[in-house]
Amino acid sequence: MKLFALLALPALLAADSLKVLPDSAILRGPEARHQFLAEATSSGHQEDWTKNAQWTSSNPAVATVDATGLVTPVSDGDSMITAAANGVSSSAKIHVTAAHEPFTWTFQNDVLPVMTKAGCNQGACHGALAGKNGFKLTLRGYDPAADYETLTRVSLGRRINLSDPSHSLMLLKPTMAIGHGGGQRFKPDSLEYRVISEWIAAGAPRPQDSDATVKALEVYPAAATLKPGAEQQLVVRAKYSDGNVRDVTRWVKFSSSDEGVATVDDWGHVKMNGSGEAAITLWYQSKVLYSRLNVPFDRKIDPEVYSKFDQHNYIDEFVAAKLKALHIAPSKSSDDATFLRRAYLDATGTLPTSEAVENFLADKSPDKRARLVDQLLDSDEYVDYWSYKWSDLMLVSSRKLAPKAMWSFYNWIRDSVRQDKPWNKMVNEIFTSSGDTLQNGALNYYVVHKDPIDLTENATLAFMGQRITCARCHNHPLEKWTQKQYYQMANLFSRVGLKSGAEPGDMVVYAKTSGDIDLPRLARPLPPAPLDAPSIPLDSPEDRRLPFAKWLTSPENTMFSRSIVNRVWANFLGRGLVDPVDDLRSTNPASNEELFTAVTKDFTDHNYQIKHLIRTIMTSGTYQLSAEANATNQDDNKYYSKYIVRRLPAEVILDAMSQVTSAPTRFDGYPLGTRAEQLPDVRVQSQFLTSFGRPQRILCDAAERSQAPSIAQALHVINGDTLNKKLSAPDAFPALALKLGLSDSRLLDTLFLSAYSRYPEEAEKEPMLKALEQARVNQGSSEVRADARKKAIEDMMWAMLSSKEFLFTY
Amino acid sequence: MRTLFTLFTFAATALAAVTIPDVPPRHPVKPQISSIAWRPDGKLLALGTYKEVRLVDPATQQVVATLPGHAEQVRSVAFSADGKLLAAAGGLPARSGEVKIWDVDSRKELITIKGHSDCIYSVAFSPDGKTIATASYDKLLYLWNVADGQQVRKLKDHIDAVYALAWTPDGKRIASASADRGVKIWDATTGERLYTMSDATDGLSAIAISPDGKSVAAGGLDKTIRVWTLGDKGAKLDRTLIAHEDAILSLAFSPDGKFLVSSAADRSMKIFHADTLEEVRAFPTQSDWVQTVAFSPDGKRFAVGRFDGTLSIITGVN
Repeated sequence: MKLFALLALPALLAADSLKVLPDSAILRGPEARHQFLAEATSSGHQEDWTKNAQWTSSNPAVATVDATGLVTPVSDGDSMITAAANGVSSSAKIHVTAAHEPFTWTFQNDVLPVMTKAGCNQGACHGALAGKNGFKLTLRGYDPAADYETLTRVSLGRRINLSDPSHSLMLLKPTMAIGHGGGQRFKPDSLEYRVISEWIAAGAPRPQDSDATVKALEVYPAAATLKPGAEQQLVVRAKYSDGNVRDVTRWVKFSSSDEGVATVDDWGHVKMNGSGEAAITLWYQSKVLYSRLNVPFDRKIDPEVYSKFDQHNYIDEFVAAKLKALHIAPSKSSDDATFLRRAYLDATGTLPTSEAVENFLADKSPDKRARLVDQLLDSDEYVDYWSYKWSDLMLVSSRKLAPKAMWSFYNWIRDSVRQDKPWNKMVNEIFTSSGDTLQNGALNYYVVHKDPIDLTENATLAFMGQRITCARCHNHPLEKWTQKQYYQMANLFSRVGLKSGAEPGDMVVYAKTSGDIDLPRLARPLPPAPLDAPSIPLDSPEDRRLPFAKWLTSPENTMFSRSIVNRVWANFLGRGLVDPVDDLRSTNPASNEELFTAVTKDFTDHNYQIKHLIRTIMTSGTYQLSAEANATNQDDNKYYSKYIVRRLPAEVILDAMSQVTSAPTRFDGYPLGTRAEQLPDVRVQSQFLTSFGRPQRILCDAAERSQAPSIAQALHVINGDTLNKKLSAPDAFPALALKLGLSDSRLLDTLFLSAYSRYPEEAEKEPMLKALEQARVNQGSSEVRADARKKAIEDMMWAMLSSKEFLFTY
Repeated sequence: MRTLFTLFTFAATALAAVTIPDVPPRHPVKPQISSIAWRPDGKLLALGTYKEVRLVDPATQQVVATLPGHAEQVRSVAFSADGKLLAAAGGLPARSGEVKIWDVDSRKELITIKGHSDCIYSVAFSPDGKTIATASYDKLLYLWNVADGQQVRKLKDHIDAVYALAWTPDGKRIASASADRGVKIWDATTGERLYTMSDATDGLSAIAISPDGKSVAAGGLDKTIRVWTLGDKGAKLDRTLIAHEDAILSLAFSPDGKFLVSSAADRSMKIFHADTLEEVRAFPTQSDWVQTVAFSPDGKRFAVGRFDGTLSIITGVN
């Protein structure tokens, strides 16, 4: 029988090595259990041999191990656990302690995790704000003290029965011994049942302040390259404040970042379904972590592909390494014309003029791309574009600001961009200044965010990419942020004072000496603290924003540097290293973590200078890759094997139309010739900008700028006034071309250069020249002939400016 | 040695049989005291505990008798006005309600009433002793004929668990307090709901009617004591006090109507002037939740029952 079972197991490949994970463990107490993994490495990938290996314990009197690698303590002492398979073996050290000491399950570290894993306190069940059928728990157990009272005392203790533990409602219901709307959550012969029933039998001891708390999680394997269809068990350990480390795999909430690549069951067993990379995220007691598992695409790629990839700086090394690991070949490098257009649009939000295109294409020097980048970084358009971008981020608008105040805020941003003020310095100015908002534009941040709650949530999102809003009402269900941390953070902003200044629109920001924000469920304030940093005393007379600013912009706070790096990266590469761009929660891993770390380090090493960051990105070979896919990277939009094609932002499209047609857009209240990218305010009326997704700057959220296509956009381009009025304006390009008497061929070249940043190809030229020729009217007055010619030019331009090639960057 | 037994239950669709292991408590358990009642002569206390009622001599605090056989925790006890009968109510949480009527002198069980689809949290005799009212987690109140245990009325209007009820001294009305945040006043004769007081901002767990029958006090999760004056068609909210720092668990008027005692989940206990809600006395933090307070008929003492099973008889109000 046993032989047959062994034969039925899949054949093991010869392995280069076998490793037991983790390599050691301390089992404390009679109930400690520890799963071990036997992880084989064979020609560059890993295989989970846990179930196939022969497991033995060198000292079964100390600890035993079963056929699945599960270790159980027997008595205090040391033992080696060995896994052997296919001629290779590996061991782990086990130390058993307190094996015979009296043991009691605790509410906080045993009972609550069981209930959370069983789903009792999830949002759809008793964790709902109103509870379920009169029984209300805190969402995922964020308030153990409240849950304890609810379970043991509320409603005259109806839910536990100390005299007859197995007759407790909290066991009868989830086992379905009596009817339960939530169905059976666990069985009476389960460990879950044992934990709860034995805790009740021990008198349902209450949580103590001295109970150990979870400090961090660790996962095995933390990363692995697997074969398609492979299965991998994960082991998760929690490290506690008392030094204990426990295997908590059974109580962890697992999820996959990409179910197409990997799925995971409730027990941490992963199945790889497709090629690519997936993060298996782990949540346990408000601590989070992930394991990165990947399956390279099933194809062979000539290693030469990677050596041929035009690598300019360290970015390319990290990208090439990732592409190599996943078996994706990068696209070829883009041609000069494409690069030029892309560089202008991404760095300055403008198109190169036909002259700039001609010059660049004619330039034969090898460093012309790098010089172009420097030239763009020094341009006024660069200042316009990035001022607009940071105005989006800081919600500059006349909605809450008087015109003068709005200008003051905008000009501060603009001035900072012009100087290339280090990002940490710029943000620091917001959080360390006091005084007059017309004198110091940065202070208008507080006028826009008068409510400390708004300020807490928006500042966290804008400058750290952390979405903590969930924690306003309860611990974040997917993240590490707790409600306590939320209100400690909010309390940092409880003493920001605002009073009217010398003139209308002028405000004075000052630090008040009193005022606190209560944690609602405790109805008292907590000592203010920046998220995971130490708190400052409630009675400290210091301006509470100062410790916040110091923590926020310190080099150790990588949330701060990663957040801005990711925003800038996404601007150029079309997708953040972490996506969405402003969702840097720790369970949302980067598509290339090593690259993200390296770019962030380079940025902080270079004094938080945005221009250095942009220059590094733009001069990389990666940024300069073509958008054209090859046979291996058609589906890749994650690992930067090609440039990601995307629609231009609303303001950029409108400005480009103005530029190519030589017909500026008129914005009410602004001098003619002001480009959309130069507007300090998003409340300037423009149907066109609105329909193309201009944000309202009400929410601090990158998604406020809509990239979604709509019928309104199509109608605006095809039928709308915007483009047609520009084309028919008396001094617009069609009229000018007519006046200058440009030849058809010269006309075509100029239009292609200014709209597409390239010369027309022969195949394009021929039909277009023919069409222009056919549109000529050779009879009638000169006016009739000129009209027909102008009409033809307008039509041709209309066709070009409504095309994808114009509206997209590629 | 563990014994196994099986509980049968009707699930939504099928008969489910789940075998439940027998898990004994590891240490001796001192059952909680859910409810206390004084016999009107002041010479006997009834305590509602686990599966039994304990009759205690208040002078010695010794248990003089136990009345066994109850399904689970006895969550409410009440004496008839003549002191001859004791109603003890409880039942199985999430399954059924149960009341046993005992002849106090002979310690004999007279009748067991089964009703409600969840356990009973409050029971009280009508002043004439002919009727008992019960309030349950199943959102309902019932009136029962004491003599034969027949159900007389069903009072249906609450939309969440009903934790407490009280009769007016004239026996004409019943007041009930519920997790639905409402206090309802019922016509005891017709079972008609007369009106609702919806001032509380969270669920209610305690109710008390003043000895003169003119006002009703209620408290619960919002930590607040509210006192209303009862009228024919409605009540007037007279006084409100955020009295404790956690949920209020029980309330009682002194027999002369001058004082109101309350206990709360922060393990506090306080006495207030009933007419002003001015604090008269705050007791030291209690050893556990005080789930029940009851004044002696002469008003000189009051008995306190806690979750940890301890009983205290406190002398003097201030």
